[in-house]
Amino acid sequence: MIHIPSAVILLFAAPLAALAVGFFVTRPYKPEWTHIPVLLSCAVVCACAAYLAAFVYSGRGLDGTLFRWMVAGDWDVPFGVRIDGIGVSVLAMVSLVGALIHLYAVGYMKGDPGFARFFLLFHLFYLSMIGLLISNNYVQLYLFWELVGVCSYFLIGFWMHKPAARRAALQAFLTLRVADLGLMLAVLILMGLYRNTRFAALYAVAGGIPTGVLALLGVLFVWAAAGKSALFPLYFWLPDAMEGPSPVSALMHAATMVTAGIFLLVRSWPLICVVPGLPEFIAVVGAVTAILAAVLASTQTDLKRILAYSTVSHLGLMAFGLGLGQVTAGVFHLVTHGFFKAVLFLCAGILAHAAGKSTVSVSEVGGLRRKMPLTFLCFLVAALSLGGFPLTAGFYSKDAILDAAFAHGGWAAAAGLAIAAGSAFYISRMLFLTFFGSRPEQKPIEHPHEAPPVMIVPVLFLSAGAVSVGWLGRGLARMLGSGWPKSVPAPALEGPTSVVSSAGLAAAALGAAGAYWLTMLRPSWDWQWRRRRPGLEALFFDDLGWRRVPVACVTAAVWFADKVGRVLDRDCWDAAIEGSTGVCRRVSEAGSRLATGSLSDSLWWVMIGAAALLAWAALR
Amino acid sequence: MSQGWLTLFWVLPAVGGLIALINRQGRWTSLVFSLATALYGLLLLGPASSGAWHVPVSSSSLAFGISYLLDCDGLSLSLCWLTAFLTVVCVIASWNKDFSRGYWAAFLFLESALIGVFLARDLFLFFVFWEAVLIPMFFIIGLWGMEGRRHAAMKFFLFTFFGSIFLLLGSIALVTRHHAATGVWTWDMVALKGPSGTAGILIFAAMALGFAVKIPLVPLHTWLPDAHTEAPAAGSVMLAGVLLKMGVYGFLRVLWPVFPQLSLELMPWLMLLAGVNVVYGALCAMAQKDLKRLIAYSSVAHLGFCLLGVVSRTPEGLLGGSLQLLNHGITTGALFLLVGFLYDRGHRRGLGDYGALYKRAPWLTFFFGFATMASVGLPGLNGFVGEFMSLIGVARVLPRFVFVGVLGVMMSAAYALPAYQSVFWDAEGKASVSAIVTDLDRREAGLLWVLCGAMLAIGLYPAPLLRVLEPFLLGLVSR
Amino acid sequence: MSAVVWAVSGMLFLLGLAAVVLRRQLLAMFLGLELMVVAAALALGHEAGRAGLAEGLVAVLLVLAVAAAEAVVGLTLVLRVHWSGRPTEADALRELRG
Repeated sequence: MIHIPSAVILLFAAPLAALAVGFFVTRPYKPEWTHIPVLLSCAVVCACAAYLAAFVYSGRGLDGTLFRWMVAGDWDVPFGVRIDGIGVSVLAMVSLVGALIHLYAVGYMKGDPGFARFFLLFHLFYLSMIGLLISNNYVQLYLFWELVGVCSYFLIGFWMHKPAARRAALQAFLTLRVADLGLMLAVLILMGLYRNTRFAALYAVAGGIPTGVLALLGVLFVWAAAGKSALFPLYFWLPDAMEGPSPVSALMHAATMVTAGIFLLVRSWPLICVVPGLPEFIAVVGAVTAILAAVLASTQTDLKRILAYSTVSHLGLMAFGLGLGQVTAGVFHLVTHGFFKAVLFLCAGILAHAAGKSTVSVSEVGGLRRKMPLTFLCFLVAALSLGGFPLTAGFYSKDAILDAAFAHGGWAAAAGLAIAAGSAFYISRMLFLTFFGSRPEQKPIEHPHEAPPVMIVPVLFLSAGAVSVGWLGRGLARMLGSGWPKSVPAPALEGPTSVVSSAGLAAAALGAAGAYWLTMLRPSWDWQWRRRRPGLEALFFDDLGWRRVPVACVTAAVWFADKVGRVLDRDCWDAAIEGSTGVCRRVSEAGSRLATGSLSDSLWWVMIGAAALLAWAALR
Repeated sequence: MSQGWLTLFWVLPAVGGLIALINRQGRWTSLVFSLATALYGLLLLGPASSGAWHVPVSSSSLAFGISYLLDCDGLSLSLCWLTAFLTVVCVIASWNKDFSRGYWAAFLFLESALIGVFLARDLFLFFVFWEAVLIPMFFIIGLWGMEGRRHAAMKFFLFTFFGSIFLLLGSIALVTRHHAATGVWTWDMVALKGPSGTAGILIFAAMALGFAVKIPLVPLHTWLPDAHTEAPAAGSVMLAGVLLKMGVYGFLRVLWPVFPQLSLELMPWLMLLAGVNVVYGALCAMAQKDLKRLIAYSSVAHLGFCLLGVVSRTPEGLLGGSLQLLNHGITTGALFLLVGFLYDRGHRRGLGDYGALYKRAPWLTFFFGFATMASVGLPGLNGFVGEFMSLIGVARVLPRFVFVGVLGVMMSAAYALPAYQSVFWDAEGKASVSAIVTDLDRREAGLLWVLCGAMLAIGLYPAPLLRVLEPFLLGLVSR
Repeated sequence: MSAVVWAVSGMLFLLGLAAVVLRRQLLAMFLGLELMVVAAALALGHEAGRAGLAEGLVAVLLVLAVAAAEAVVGLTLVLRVHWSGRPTEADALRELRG
């Protein structure tokens, strides 16, 4: 029996206790106090995560069972924990960023009638995300994987009076379900073949699994990750998911939940990396997603949608780095991205809050630099980090991926540079349009005001993180090595060469300069091309036509279901069965003419019958 | 232990039913007796799990080997618990209904017959109880149902009776064949062994047809939506919660032990039927515009899952399928209860009739969302455990059917969530109907707390329940 | 002996049959029915006694008991018809017409 440190138990116990107190005590009696137990729990979780980070950093690890979840004969599915480098390095980011966004949400959601509901769902998500990171088998991972999806559903649809929010919630949930099909199938295949899905056991036998099975598993994992992490074929739900409150967009749809897919790939990496060609496939999917989303981000007008496409692009970048074999770089970017993207979303949330709306477009902002200096500062720092400005977090993590791309050479290098340039372009465009100048087309928010301290302080902390976490790269690499299977070396993070750094910087500078030219030197350009080419704008808003594909699929499915359920089942089959009673009735009506009801007639029938029986008996 | 203790189990509610018929306080009588039966069922756990009634010798027979023989193991007992529990729920749920005493008696008689079905070890006795179930259910639908109740009750009766004829013929053929082969007249399910060859297949098919109507398997399912739609809410709860389980129970209890070899040979075909159920039920559910019909078709899909697991004849599949029987009883029971409460308020069941109920009825919304999530197989709630274990069973024997199952899991969200949204979130509903909907009162909310608590408990820690189910089921596992 | 019993029994049966088929009065038809039953019981009792089968004699008792019960039910029905003001004739009752 492995000793499980109480910090691990607390990771589950504290949020569960907070949820129980919140649901049964504060929600009915003092809904406006629901955040108190929740915030306390966040603090506990952060402390535990810090302890576990140190635990893992010192080279220790843990893989143990808490209880047996499902049992059948001698077989069982354990409910356990796995404390190792991958899980805890992401856990540290998730717990910290999550806790700060909880704090921000106290200010953001103040006065909302659903304040208690929001915090309970938000914290349930936090719990699920933590559980996902420290699961020790695929079934348990699937449990939390689905739970985060459900929390996302209820939080995207949080303002259910808005039709767009309802639609987006349904779209997100159904898309994720389609993607989860992959994970569930993979888990079932593993179960059917090995009756065990513990990571530790699978890592040990990874070499012995037939390549065909591994390839199938790998493709299914990628499919699942493509849904959750919004990679190319299935990414379209993420931009629409911005209908939720801003803290939700920041925590779930930027920093944590959407990275679960990448996390799944990293978790499964020992299984994936032995399939020839599969890592390259992941890299291609990542690159296509990243470039496509960067182009689309540059054409959006809604602030949160710009950021959503940017998230899609960076998730693609992580998959790209992962596919090139740089597991460490992928996880590193996952962590840094969590910080700077959270800041960007929270800043967009502050603007929306100031406007009293759930989201704002570029036409409603402009020149806010002086009126909201702190927000501007935070946004600037995060934007620099995203763009890859030297010494910021994004710079280090992106360069680690670029390094891998250059090592791979060819299309990968080109794609890496294109992503760097694109990121710098769209984030600079957003920065300039929002905070600099005021264009004739823009009608800025009336009376813009800085957010209350409870909102701005967490953002300041996160901004500090957006600068500084990049310096921890080597420590992260060391952490990742802990618990990583020896058969698949986790490559150490080497400092990128100067060639790579300067190429990346040049690409980013090019992107930023392009954005400066198109937004500052030609301030109305962004509106002019839309006016002149409405068809082009529609094309971009339609994601170059890709959005029509899922819509067509859903339409076809609904049509088919209607044909089966209404036409075939009710109008044909059930009608035929009901009709058969009519046939029976007609036959019996014909027969009933013989029954005159007269007693003597009946008696004659009895006589005839008796005579026939007697005759039969006599003749036999 | 003597058979008398088991006899008491099914006689207790029957006595309650008689008392309910002859006194004025029908609802109190039914409450007391259903509670007593439920408590008594809990007491039986100890002796049942120690195999107290699983004696190999049959008692003295009446004629042709027919004997009064009851048996109770974990599988029987858990289904009896489900019956007793849901009867209590139904009685409390219809507490404020102004129904005559026959209504309250009917539920007790139904409970008695159902417990009899699950306890019977003699095939003839099993058949008698099987048919006895029809009578109270027929009256519950036909007398206390909605507008089209008579038609629905007749349809329900004719369909199930049609199946029962084949069940009876199959049983008689089975027993005579057994007599011809061994020279022993017996109806004891434990002792009976089915013939092989064509005769075996015919007998198997006849009995399976009888069970299939109850499950219901797809071409024979059209009685279900009508019966559910027209039945009173509590009737739907019993119908979906327990009556459908009798079919799968028949497969487990009768066909598997009697035809150990044949059922393995027919596995691909049975699995195909179950897979068709899963997908077809889900597709039909997607096309429904009436909440009760939608849930009825979702039952078709869910029972397909149970059968998938049960057919696989692996430990995981058998346990998962059986657990799913209980899970579906709780989850769908809760859903029908909620629709019933909604109907009591708004007198409509259409998806488009309501809108934005979350404002006026937050608890109704909460519980409906909770039960919907359990129904679509959200891990952590009960539905997932059953479905997942069933599918593992399938994965171990016929992996290609796993895809069908996973497709079904996916599609369940595609019909359940739009329905949930359109009733509880969307604002497009008829404002006048939604405006008269009030939230659940304490009695109703209390019931749902219990049901939802059970969903959560089974979802997070099903191991104890699985341990109860295990002994009989593991005995069925193919070597 | 046997022939006499069979002859009596057969004659009774035929008389009863004739009454049932030819008469229109419900009461008369009913009497005929009872005659037929008794005739059958007579033959059965005789044969059972000859073969020394106790079961047969028991069956005769059972038949007589049923006949008695039948008489009660039948007479009640006839009285009901009478009270309802209709003639107690067979052709007056046609409720069973299909």
